[in-house]
Amino acid sequence: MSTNDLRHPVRAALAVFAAVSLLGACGGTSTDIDVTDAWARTSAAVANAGAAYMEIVNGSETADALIAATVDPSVAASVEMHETVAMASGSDTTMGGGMESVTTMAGEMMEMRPVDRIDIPAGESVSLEPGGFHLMFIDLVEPLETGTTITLTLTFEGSGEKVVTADVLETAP
Amino acid sequence: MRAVHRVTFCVGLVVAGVVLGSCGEAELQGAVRTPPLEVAPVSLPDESGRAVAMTAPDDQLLLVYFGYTSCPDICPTTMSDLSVAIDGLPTELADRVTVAMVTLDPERDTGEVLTGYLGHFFNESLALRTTDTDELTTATSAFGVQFEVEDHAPGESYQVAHTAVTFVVDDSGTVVVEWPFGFESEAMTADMEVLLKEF
Repeated sequence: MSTNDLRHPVRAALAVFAAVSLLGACGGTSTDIDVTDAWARTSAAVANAGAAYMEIVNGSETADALIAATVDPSVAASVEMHETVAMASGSDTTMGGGMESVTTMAGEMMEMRPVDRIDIPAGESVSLEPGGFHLMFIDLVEPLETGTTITLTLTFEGSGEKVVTADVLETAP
Repeated sequence: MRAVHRVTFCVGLVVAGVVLGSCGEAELQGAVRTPPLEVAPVSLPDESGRAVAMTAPDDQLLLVYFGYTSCPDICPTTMSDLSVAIDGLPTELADRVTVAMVTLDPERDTGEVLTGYLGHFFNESLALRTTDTDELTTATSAFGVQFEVEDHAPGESYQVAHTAVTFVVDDSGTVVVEWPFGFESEAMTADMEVLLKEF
């Protein structure tokens, strides 16, 4: 392509488009998943459970999913992916079968459900946050102490493994 | 002339509205029930076995939460939010607030575990635990709390689904405001300031 060619507006635009497309293709190998703000809540010495949270950004045009998470056995026995959800029944039922009691429920029950995958749609980000999706540490070996970090290995269905460092914090960053 | 009168009337209403809006209970941001729950008759044992009534000492507030320590998400998030909310109060007001956590999982939460857990979040707190199922359900019913312990074999890990509301109880044993899960710490602090200044 000569410089003269670029003077033609359409050709110039095509050239730019081609260059951008090439750049895009180079950058977009298998990992367009970015994980930010990974953190785990500090845990009480007596607690055997903990949780980690993060923001997962899918910068690609292909849907992906978090399908597994692991941690070194020196941190916890295992890691499970969970979602905290409000159970269907609750807020407008009454206690004791109705007849004598008039106490209204104080809101829905919350429970955790293990999930097999956390979908990360193309071009979107998904938050793992308190009260929603989280990674649960089962049988913590040591308490999680503020100021330390935890290394998590995340497995994504499409883009493979990603190692993430989570800060141990008192409260959400 | 009529138009002028109408304008004056409207201004009058606006002034009345502002005055009403700026005083009394309307300032609370949490959920207020009518009629309020009365929980004074409920008592549960603390770690030493002493019965603790669900009323705050004079001119103080008792924040009551039902949960369990093996809960990784909801319970520590709530405890942390409460801790931040209390820290947001001036010391003289913070000294008049006590957190009480009632375990819904006495099987795993021994008195020692529950006390240690609360000590992670608060300088002072009440660890309430009973292994008497009737005594526990009497307490949960009074607060309108539901819970469900997952079926499990001995030694197997399990969860407890539960109502995740913090109840703010005054010195007469009345639940004056309720904070659902996820309620902002700043709003909790503001609610406590309103209530403590009313005494």
